Amino acid sequence: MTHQPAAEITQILRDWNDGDEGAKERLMPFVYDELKRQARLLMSRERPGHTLQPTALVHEAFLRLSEQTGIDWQNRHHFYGIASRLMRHVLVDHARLHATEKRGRRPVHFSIEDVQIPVEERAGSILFLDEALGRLEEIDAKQARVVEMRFFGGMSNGEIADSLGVSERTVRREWDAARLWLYRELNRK
Amino acid sequence: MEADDWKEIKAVLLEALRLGPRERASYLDGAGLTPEARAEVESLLALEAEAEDFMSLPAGEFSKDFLGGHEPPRDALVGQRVGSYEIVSELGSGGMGAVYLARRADGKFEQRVAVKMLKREFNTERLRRAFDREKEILAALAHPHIAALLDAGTTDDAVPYLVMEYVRGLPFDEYCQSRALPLNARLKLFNKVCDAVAFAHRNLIVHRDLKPSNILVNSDGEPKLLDFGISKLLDAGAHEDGGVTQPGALTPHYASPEQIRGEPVTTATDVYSLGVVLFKILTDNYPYDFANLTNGALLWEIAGAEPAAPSESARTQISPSLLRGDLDNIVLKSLRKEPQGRYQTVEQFSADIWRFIDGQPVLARAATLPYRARKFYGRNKAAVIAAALILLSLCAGVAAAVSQARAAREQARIAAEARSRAEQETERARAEKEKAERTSRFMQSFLNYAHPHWSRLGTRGRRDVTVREALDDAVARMETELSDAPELRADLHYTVGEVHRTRHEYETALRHFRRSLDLYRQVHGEEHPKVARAIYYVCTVMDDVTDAPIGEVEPLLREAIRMMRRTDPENVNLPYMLQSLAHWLMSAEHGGSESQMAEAERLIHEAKTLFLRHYGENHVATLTADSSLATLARSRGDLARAESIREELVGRFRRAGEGGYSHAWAIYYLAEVKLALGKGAEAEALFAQAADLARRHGGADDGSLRKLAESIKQARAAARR
Repeated sequence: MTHQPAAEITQILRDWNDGDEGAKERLMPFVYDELKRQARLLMSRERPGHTLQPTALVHEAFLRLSEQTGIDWQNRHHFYGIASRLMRHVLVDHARLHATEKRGRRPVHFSIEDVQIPVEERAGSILFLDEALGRLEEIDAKQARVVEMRFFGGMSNGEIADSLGVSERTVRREWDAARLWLYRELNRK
Repeated sequence: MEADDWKEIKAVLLEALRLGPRERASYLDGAGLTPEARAEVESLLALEAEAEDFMSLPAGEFSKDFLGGHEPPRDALVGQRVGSYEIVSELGSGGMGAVYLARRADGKFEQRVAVKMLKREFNTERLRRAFDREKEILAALAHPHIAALLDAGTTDDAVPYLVMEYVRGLPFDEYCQSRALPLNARLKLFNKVCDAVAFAHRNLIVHRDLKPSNILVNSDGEPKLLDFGISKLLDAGAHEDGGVTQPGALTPHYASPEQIRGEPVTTATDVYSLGVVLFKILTDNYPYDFANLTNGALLWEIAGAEPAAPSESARTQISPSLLRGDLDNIVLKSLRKEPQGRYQTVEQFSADIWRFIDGQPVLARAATLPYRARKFYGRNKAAVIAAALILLSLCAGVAAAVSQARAAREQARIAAEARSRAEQETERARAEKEKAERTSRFMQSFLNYAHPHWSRLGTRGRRDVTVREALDDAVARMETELSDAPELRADLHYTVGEVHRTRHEYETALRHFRRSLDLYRQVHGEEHPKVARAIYYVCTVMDDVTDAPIGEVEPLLREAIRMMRRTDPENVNLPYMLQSLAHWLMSAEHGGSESQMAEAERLIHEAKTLFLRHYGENHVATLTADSSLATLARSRGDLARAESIREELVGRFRRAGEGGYSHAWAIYYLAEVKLALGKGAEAEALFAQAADLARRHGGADDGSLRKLAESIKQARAAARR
């Protein structure tokens, strides 16, 4: 059996172009499936020493969706913005399945050393970070977007700047402030 | 923390981060922060070193151990209870929802249902609202061919779900193929689907995702539409077969050009998708050559390429010849790129398919006359002859009026040079032009009679108006609307008379022929080829009208012939007139004397000479002159001559490759002569041959065919005696 979201996606993108912000949310399920497929595809091909780059994941998903829908994504950055949000969904979704305990017991840095930490704990940290990011969204939506794009979407500062229509310097500063704020949130008792 | 507070704190924090530790203190002193805000900034600054490599690894890389490999168990919900139902297995998943097969868990009765659930990760407020809206839509769609909404609710952990009628069946296309359904069965099933879609449209719901996999046909042979409206939210059609995406798993085969172009979606979108569905069930193929195309190229095809005709694409058990013509046109009309070129409603689409099933003319086609004439002909041959005659005469009338107008314009130009007459001529030109236009309009309105929906355009407001009614209506209107175009009216009365004559309505025919004659006399005076012709027409039916003054026929015919010889000896009607008089003189009731027979023979020879000149040797008209000579010989008792003429005639028909209806009659007459000569066996064989030929030749109308069959039967009986 087949699955035919192309028309739906096209319509949603049109709504979005027309200024319907809700369109983004409606679009997500479609891109979400694609990202998940791509993630699985990439993981299934993983070789020793291969590192998974979310940007590569997003790029693959983007290409595939472009081909499927025939959509000329006028602003690629729009797509990266959505894709970042979706990567967050994908990761949180998976993390939920793997977290034995919702919160990590000790501060996790989300750095290269942390990959030695057991999967369950790291998964819990993702959920924790997701919650913290949710709180940041409430007080500073734009800053939360920067985090989402950079951390979940793996986008560069330049790409984020283009996508949000701000300077790269602003992106850098928002990122720095957000990291501190989130770090503190994650390490609260 | 409030957003405004954070804004202030963030500004100070960012500034402080640029500074060295020593400058920070003095900067913060001068920043004018509240003690709380200052404490906040300081607590964040204190983490700077500790958080240095925080989030330095992108989330995907950090999470890859649990991102790949472990798929969430698809059947995690199996065995769980949802409302009063227990999940049995997953039916499908896609987008933001999944569909499960469930059964009643309260044991009240055995019932299988389909439960649609929002996926947990998409259980957001906004999507819940959308899910609710779709639930309301679905609740409004109680239709025998739409899978019904049975129940709805939310699970204990607040995941909304819908309980739907579980349809156990095959996708529409597979059903048709696996049962090798005949054409009409497929069409009738399709029309049921159309009913369901039309019902939804009446409820202002556009499906937007019509495709065979969303139309299941159950074991009773009833189609059920699934995912109505909810298809926006849920797509239960997809089965993920684990892991890697299948190439082409996401295909927009049934998407419309406007969906691909990102234009507004209307009910015409469903018409299009239904068109692709119809294409698929008729041909087991797609309107575009989708094979070997990437999805992107495929979309390009849908948006821009001309679809193939079903008859050229058929891979089913249905013969392409059944699809050629009407069904091709119906499908292609539904597949037009521009929505306004398609059927404007699903009802219209469906109605055209019913018309096809019923053998009526379908709307799907550019309104070309030859087509309509063909369809018309299939249903009512006499009517077709009528329509053709009327159209011809009207065209001639208009051509004349237009050329008059042109001439008048030319005159007006000349007149303009002669100023004194200029105004007068211009006025005349205007009047002529108006007349031409009016005639043209009248003709146009008449053409509408040939339209299957002419009654809608006309005044009677009902369907199946007969040709006869159409004619009467036209005649009544032309007397007023064309009151200043007597010649055109004369032509029309003649053609209408012809129609009645072919329908054996001789009295009416005579009335029209007489009216036609009067009008020609008004226009052309007493002596004119058209007057001569009109007199002849009057004579042709008088013999068949009970109260007609039969005594006038011969003098009238002689008058017509005299007039035609003088005014237009080359007129093609003249030989027919001569032949007509000859037959009159030969007939037992009106003539039959030797002098009359002799005159008849002269007339027939003259007619034959003229027919030869007009039509050549093997034309039916020429052959009928010979046939008349044979009849004459027989009337005189010269059976041998009659036989030899008829033998020759049959031979000429055969050589001319006629093989048609007239040929059949020629054989019949030869058989009659043979019978009269006592050659019973020969006669019988010839009768059989004639009957066979007449039957095989479709052109014979039922009455003549019956008459022929009847005569043959009698003759056979006689032959045996």
